[in-house]
Amino acid sequence: MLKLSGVSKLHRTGDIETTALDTIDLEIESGEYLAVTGPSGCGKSTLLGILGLLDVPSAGQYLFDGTDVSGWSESRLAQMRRGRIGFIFQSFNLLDDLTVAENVALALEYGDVPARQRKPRAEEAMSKLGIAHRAGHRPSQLSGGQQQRVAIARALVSRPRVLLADEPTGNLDSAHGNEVMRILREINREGTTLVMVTHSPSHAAQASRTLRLLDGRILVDAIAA
Amino acid sequence: MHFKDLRIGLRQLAADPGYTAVVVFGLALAAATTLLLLAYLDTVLLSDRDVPGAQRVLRLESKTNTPGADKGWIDGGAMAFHDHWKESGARVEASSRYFTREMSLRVGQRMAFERISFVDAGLVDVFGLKPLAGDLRATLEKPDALALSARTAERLFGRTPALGKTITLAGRSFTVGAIVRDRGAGSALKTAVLVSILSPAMPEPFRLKEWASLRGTIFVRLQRSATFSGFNEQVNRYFEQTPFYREAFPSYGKIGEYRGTPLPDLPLAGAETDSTRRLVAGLSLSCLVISLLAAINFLNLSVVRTIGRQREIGIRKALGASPAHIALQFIGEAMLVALLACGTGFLLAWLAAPMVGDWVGLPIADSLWSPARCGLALAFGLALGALAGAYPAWVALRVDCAQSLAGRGHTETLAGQWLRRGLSLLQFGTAIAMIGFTVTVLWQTRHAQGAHPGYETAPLLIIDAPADMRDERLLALREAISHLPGVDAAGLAWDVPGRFNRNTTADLQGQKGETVLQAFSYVGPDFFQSYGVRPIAGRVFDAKDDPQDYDDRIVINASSSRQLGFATPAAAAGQFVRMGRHSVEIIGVIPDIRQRSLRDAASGVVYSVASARMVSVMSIRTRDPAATRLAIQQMWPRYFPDDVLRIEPVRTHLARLYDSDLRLGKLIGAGGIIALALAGFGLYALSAYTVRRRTAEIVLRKLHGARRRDIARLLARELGAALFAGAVLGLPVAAWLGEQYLAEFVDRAPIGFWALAISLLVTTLMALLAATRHTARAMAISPAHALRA
Ligand SMILES: Nc1ncnc2c1ncn2[C@@H]1O[C@H](COP(=O)(O)OP(=O)(O)OP(=O)(O)O)[C@@H](O)[C@H]1O
Ligand SMILES: [Mg+2]
Repeated sequence: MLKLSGVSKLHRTGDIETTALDTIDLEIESGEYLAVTGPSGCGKSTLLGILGLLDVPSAGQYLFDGTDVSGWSESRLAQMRRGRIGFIFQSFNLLDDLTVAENVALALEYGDVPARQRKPRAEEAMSKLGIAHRAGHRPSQLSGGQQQRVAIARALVSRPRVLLADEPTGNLDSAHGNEVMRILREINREGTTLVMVTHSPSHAAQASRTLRLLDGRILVDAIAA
Repeated sequence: MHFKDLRIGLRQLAADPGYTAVVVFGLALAAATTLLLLAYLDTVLLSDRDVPGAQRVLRLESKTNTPGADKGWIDGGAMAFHDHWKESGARVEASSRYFTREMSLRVGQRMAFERISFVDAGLVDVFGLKPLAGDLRATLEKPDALALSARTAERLFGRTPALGKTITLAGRSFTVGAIVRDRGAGSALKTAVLVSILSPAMPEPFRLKEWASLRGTIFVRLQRSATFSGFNEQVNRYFEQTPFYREAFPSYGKIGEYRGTPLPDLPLAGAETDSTRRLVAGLSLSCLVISLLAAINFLNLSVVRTIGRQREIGIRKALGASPAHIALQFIGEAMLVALLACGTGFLLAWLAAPMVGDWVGLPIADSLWSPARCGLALAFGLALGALAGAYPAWVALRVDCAQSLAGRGHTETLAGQWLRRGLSLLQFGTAIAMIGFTVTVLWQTRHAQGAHPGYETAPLLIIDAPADMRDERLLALREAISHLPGVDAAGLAWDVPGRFNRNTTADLQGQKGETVLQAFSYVGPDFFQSYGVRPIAGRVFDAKDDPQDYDDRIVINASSSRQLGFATPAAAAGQFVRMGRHSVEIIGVIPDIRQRSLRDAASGVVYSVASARMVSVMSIRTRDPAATRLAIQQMWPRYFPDDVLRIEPVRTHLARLYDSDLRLGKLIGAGGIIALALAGFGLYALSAYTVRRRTAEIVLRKLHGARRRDIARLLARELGAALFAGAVLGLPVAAWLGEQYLAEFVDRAPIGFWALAISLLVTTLMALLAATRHTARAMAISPAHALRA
């Protein structure tokens, strides 16, 4: 479903060039649960950004759902993203000027979901994640775990086929972290392709496949038994 | 663009009322001043736009070149030209003499005081006038008919039709023969009441044939084949061969000059348009500065906010918003603010129009609302919004969402930083320049208001009489008034000193035999007593003496005594000097009394009672002005039953002398204060953002043991740099503007460098106040709270 061939990503700051990804070949099947691990700075977030069409590779080819998206303009990429990819971040990235419900519904604003259906869809996602009673609150009034559940609800509400999570438990204590992992597992079981960056070996172990990066290269690519 | 996209922007506007107020109110003021400026220009410039072929319609203007006379063009000239176009060779299609005067008229038992315009029937062709009712041409050909404007007709007759009604003017009956449209307040033609110039009501018929007379003028319509330069040449050539020109003052050479000014050029380029030009410049300047400041505020603050909203942009992009979406969202937000501001601006303009109309001396409220102008103002507001939204949109577009969502790159770019710094600097500079200039203008205005005219004004009342000294009734009235209880003296004069600025001069021979040109003023015998002016040497005229005694006697002022070469006033008193062909005795010297405005230097003035027959202004010195006024009102109808009494304190007349300066001062003062407030609020909000942007830094520094002093120093350095750069930018501009304004005044307020010092001080205080408040707030934030965000 997602296929990278010889993808590299360079960052340039002044005269200094950093190779964040170095000729990566990777194919992710539909319904897979892939955990990406590796030391800090090895290029995990960069990989996720490219997979999620937020960033474009400096070299190589990327087939998203069979479509070659290399060299696409920003607005074409945005159109491709709409409703197809969900994102979860370590730092939640919720907007404090909007309520919980509005944060969730934001994900539907740019898709093809008719305005009438947006509210019920958002409510459905919120109750699924057990935050419906907080719908009118502002994100800053919630605990970290609750905030991450709002972020997950927002990622899911458009029913994407791919969910990309960058250290979703990084800011949470172990109890909340485990809860989030349980929710993600469930989502994957329902058929959503899941790519998750994590530092926790135990969380990585729950995935069906584990990718280990080092200095922008794939060190280990293991399918769980 | 989804309306929901505006939600965050709107909520932020509501959450930050200070910012919103600064931006919306600033833009609203800009829109309001623009509207008012347009309305003013419309009234001034376009009142005669309905005249067909206006480019071929000229007004005759003249200039007197005798030494000592006012050197500017005046909107008057010899009406004698009217009868000589053929001989002059000028290709004139139609022509009309034009002489206006405010006069009393009577409708039944009601009296009214109206501006009467005496004209020829040719006016109909010159201006292409079409009457609303009646036959205008026939009316203007009759000696006993007149035409009224629609508004005058309503004033005099109410709802009943005026056509065919009778009006008494100058003791004669006139029939209303036509009704004409009211012309705009800026029109060169006053049409309240139109009367044939050949009618017996024309007050000074001798002017029609007199080449020396400059009161009254002529409007002409040139033939299609004629050129301006050709017309001007022919007019001057003809004037120079008139007996008046050749015989009058041969020693002066070219004593006068004529030109025709096209109708469309009259408002700004015609004669006597200095104060209009100053007003237009003042209004435009105010409008420009206010718009500039408002736009800077808008841009500056929206850029700062956009930078703070990078995470929102990142999220929106991640959720599939295209660049066009984002750009539209920000431009939409800006347009919304601009629209809100425009609406407020319309309201402000509507509220301020009467007051501003008063300041500029024109009823601009009448022409405030025209669809075209409203559309223009709206388009202007929207364009400004789009412009101010474009930069934030551009900033938003360049947000790299992968980076932004990873928590990186939430700072402004280097270029953005410099742009914003540049804008702040511009704001500081404008504030400093504006304050400096405003202080100068207001100071000078106060100075002008308080300037002593050289006599006590409180006890003086002035009557503009409808007759002159040749009329027994005026002499009788003067006599009666002088015996009223509380009245110390009642004198007659040619004019209120300084009012009409008449260019009458006399040649005197100085002590070294040179010719000295002096302003010449006719006065009645009791003039000096009524003004309470006492001689500093010799004596002045006295009503108790026989006026015949004064035939060859004059009184001069101190300047004149100096200019004639006398060492002291005492040396001049009792001396004989040559005036023209006669020898006259200087019986006394009085101190200078102000003859003109503060723009003019004190000049030598000669006062004479001889041939003062045309004196018609009465000055009354009284201990109880209110009671005297009442008493005069009661006795007036016994002397002048057909005329409206016009009595006013001399102060009112003097105020009119400085009127245009005062109005300009008020206008610039108001503009300056608005600009100051805008700049002040902008700086305040900006300092708030500066501090907020650095809150994390401040808290961290505090965490590491920074004292208040260190943090104050941190902010002082940033602010001090901006202030210094602003001063470098703004002070020269303030100095230059102030100098431009003061240049025309001879009598200046002792301002010196004070205006600059004050502007620097005020700006510093303003910036300090804003920074102190926000720093104190930042210092009070608990580190735990700040580090969480
Ligand atoms: N905008 C940028 N400019 C320069 N270098 C960058 C930029 N973004 C990322 N990098 C570099 O690219 C490399 C990969 O970064 P990336 O954020 O993908 O690492 P990561 O594996 O997610 O690390 P972490 O586990 O700490 O989040 C790093 O060396 C980083 O310094
Ligand atoms: Mg990372």
